[in-house]
Amino acid sequence: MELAELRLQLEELHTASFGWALSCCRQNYAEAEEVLQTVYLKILQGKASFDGQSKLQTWLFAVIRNTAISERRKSLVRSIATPSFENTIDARSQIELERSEVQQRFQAALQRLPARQRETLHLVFYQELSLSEAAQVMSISIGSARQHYERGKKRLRELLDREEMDYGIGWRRKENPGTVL
Amino acid sequence: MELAGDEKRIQALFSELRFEDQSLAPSFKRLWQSAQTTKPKRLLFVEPMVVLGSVAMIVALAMWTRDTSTQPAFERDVAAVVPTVDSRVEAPKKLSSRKRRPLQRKKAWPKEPEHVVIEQAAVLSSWQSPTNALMEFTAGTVFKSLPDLTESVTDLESYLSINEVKELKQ
Repeated sequence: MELAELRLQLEELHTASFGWALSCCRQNYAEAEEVLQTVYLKILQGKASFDGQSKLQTWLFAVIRNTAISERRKSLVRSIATPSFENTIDARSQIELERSEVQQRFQAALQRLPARQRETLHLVFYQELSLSEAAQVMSISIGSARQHYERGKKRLRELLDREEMDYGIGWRRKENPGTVL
Repeated sequence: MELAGDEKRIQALFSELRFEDQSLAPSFKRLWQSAQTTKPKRLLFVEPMVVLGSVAMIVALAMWTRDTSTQPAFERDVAAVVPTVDSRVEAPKKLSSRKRRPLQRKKAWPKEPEHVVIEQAAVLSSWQSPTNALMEFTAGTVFKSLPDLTESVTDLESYLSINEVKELKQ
């Protein structure tokens, strides 16, 4: 595939790629942007090349996932050497403020899921990939992907129910502070 | 894939999230162009690792060469004095389950001339312990010779002191 053609296809997938990068970076906007830029750099340098054996989207998502993992490792080492959290906290809180309350609770529940379960749910529900494609992106068997999908759904449901219950209690307390629950 | 009630709810939440993410996404052109202009990053944390690794290797190599090349002074002295074992006589083989390591070549020390070896051997054979003098005492003859049962009375009397002989005669 020629670079110009690849560029056009990457541009089409850009928004979905950014969503996936955000999920891989635990909704850290700056980190997701850096990861996506690194992925484009890898493609330009030929470090990541599409061989046409799978769908372009699954290949690209696998590259994004691997890059995010290696970037996270590097940033972990960097944070140990020179700890500075101010910027990341500011950026994250700013984006979280812009989200609706329901979304914030949903995000919180998602973050509490194990990484594999969260990734599977994201690929199936957000990216609308099939389970076999999700398995391909995550480099696992379809059986494992199905297991992560089922467990993730169940756990997310439980977490959302709990969050809603907590929210309801909190709301009632606010309305009627004298209520004993 | 047909979605159940809970799945529809999860799908709706993800759709909303996707919609919000779309507004946050940076432009493709900007990222693509900055990737094109970016030079490959220098691996900040790999370089110190390489330096540390190479230093460790150099130190290990230096220690290994020191162990193999230098021979202790004691071993050198013994080798000079003790005559060499006949090469035809084979040393008994050790029973060991482990594989023997290949012998490392040791540096051959220059042999000393024969007359020096003989002189050193003579010095060694005539050597006496400085505590030998402590073994000498006055009654040494008593312990050196024992009376024999077949000896005559007069001979036996020689083992007694003068006072004891007098007492016997009385």
